[in-house]
Amino acid sequence: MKKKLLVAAAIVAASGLALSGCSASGGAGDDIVIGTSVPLTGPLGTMGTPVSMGYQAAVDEINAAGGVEYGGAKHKIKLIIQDNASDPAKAAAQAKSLVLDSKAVALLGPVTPPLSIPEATVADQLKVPFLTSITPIRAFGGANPNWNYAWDVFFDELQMTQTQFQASDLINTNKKVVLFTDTEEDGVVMGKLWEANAPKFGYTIVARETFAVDNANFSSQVADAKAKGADIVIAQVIPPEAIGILKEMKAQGYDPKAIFMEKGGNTGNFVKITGGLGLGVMAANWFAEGMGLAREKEFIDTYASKIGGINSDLGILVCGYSITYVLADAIKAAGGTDPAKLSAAIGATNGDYAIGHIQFTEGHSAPLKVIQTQWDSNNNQVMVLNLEGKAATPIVTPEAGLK
Amino acid sequence: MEFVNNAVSGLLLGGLYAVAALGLSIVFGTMKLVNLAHGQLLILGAYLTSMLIGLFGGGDPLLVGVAAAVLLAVLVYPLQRYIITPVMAQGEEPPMTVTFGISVVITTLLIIFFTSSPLTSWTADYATKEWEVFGVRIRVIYLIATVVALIFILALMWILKRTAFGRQVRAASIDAEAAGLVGIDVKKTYARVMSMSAFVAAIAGVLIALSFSVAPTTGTGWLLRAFTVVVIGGLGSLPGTLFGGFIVGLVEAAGAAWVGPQYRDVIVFGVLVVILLVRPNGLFAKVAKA
Repeated sequence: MKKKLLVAAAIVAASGLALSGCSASGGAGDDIVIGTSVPLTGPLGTMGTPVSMGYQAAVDEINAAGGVEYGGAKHKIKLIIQDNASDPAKAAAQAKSLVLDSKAVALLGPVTPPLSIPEATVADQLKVPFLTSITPIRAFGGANPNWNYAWDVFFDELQMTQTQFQASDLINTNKKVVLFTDTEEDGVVMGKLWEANAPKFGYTIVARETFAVDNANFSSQVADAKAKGADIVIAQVIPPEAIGILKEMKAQGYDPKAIFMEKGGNTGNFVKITGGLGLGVMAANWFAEGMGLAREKEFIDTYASKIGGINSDLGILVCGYSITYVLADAIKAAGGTDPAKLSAAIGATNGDYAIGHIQFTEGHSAPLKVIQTQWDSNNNQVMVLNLEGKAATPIVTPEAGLK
Repeated sequence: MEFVNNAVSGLLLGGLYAVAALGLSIVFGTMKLVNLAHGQLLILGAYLTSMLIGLFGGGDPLLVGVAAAVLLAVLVYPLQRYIITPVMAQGEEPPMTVTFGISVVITTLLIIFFTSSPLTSWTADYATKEWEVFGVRIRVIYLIATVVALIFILALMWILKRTAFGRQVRAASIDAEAAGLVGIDVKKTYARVMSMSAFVAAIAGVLIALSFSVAPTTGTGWLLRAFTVVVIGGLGSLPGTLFGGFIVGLVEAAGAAWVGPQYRDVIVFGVLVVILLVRPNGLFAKVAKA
C-alpha cells in the first residue's frame, strides 16, 4: 500500500513538473478578440460571405496550432463576425460596437470602398488597427490620404485599368472601345483611368455610357454603343446592371469581340445568373489557376467545390485568409496587441502569403497585381492574361454567351 | 429614327411599369393602403416561378408564372385577412408599418434561401428578342408586358364593374362600415383584393425578371417606380395606372436621349414632384376611379 502511494505521488509530482514546464515555454494566454463587420446579406452579400469564410479558415488554422505566440504564451483568436447587410451606416456602427462593447483589439474589414471606408474611419477615430481587402487602393487612399490605423491590401486601379487593353491586344479588333460606368465612386474613378489609358495603348474610346447605380434600362446606351461600332466593351457595374446590359446587347444583336465586366462580372455563378449570356465575359482577377501562387493548388483543391468554381469568390476567400495571417503575424511581431505597435507592425509587413507578396507602400496600401480572366462553361474564370501582361489561355471571341 | 425608337421603347417599357404598379393601385383604390410590401411581392413572384420551373424541370416562365401567381395569391390571402386587416382599424400608419415588416421578412427569407445574388435567369427566347418593324426596334418582352397590362386592366375593370364581387369591392372602398352593415364581409373582400393584387404582382415579377434581373433586394427600387406610376396616373385609377406607366416610360426615354441616361431618375422624380404640385391626386384621378 505504501509503495502504491509513493508511485501515485511520484506520478502526480511528475505531471506537475511537466505542466509547469509547459507553462514556462508558452502556455495558453488570454484570447485575442478580433472583430469584423462584413456584408453577409444585401447587394454585397456575395462578396462578404467568401471573405468571412477566409477569415474563419485562417483563424481556425491558427487556433488549431495553439494560437498566436507572444509574451511567452500562445493566445487563441476569438473572431466575432457581424452582418452589416451591405449598409455603410450599419458597418460603421458595428465596427464601433465591436471595439467598444466587444473589446476587439483589431478589426478585419468588409469589402469594397463604400463599406471599408466608413469602418476604417471608425478604426482611425478609436485608434484600433484595421486591415481590409477587396477595396481598390486608390479609392481607399483617396478617401483619406493620412490613415493612421487603417490598412488595405488589394489591386491598384491604374494597373487594373491597363489589363483590359493588354488583353484586347491579344485579339484582332478595330480598337474602338465603349465604356459603361455607373455613378459609384469606382465607376467614376476607373472610367477616367480607362479614358486616360486608352490612347497609350492605341485604343479610342468612342462612347462613355454613364448611368445611375442600379439602373435597369440600358436600351439607349446599348443602341449608342452598337451604332458607334465598338469591338470592345468595358464596364464597371454591379451584377444586376451587368445582367441588364447583356440582355439588352442580346436583344439588339450587339455581339462585340471582347466584353470586360469589372465588379459585376466578378460574381460567382456569373454565367448561370446571366442565363448563359455571361459566357466569355472577361474580368480582372487576383486569383486563378496557373498564376503560380505558392499555395494555389491547395486552395483550389480545398475550397473551389465549396465556393462553386475557380473564380473571384475563391480569390476573395484567399484575400480574407491572407490578411488574417498578416494580422496574426503583426500581433506576434508587435509582441502583443498595443494598438500603436500593432498598427506599425502591420505597416512593416513584407512577406509572402497565400494571395502573393504583401508589402505596404504609400497610402497605407499593399497593391496586388491583377490578371484578366474569362468565364468558361464550368463556372471557372480562366486566366487569359498573366501577371506579366502576356497571353495565357487563348481568349474565346466573340463573346460566346451572346451568340 | 432614333427618336422614334426611343419613344416606342419608352412607351412599351411603360407598359411593364404599369403591370408592376397595378397591384399597388388596386390595393390603394380599395383599402386606402399603401402596400410597402408590393415591391417584394413582385420579386417573390419571380422567385416562386423559379422554384416551380425547377420543380417542373422546365417550362415557359410566363406560363409557369401563372401557377406561381395563383400560389402567391393563396399565400397572401391569410396575411391580409389575419394580420393586415385587424390593424387597419387603428389608423393608416399601423397597416402600412405591417406591410413594411412583411417586406423585410420576404427579403430576409429570400436571402436565406437563395443568397443575395441575382436570381438565375431563365431561358426564354422572347426575353432578349427584338423585332424591327418599318425600321422601328420593338423589344418583344416590353410588347408582351404592355399587352399583359392592357389585358389585366380590362379584366379588372370588368370584374369591378360587372360582377357581384366587384360591387362588394366598390362598396367597401367607398364606405367600409356601411358595406359591412348591408352584409358585405369587408374583411374577406379586402383579403380577396390583396390576393388579386398579388396575382398581378407575380406576373409582373416574372416580366421584370425576364426583362432585367431580380435579386432579393431589388423590390425596393420597383416599389418606388410603381409608386411613381400610381401617383402620376392617379391614386387608385386603373386606366390612370396604364397612362402613368406610359408617361414614366416616355419621360425616362426622352430624358435619357436628350439630357443623359445618368439623369433618368432625376428627371422622372422631378416630373413626379411637378405633377404632385399641379395635380396632387394625379393626372387621371377624376377621369376613372377603380
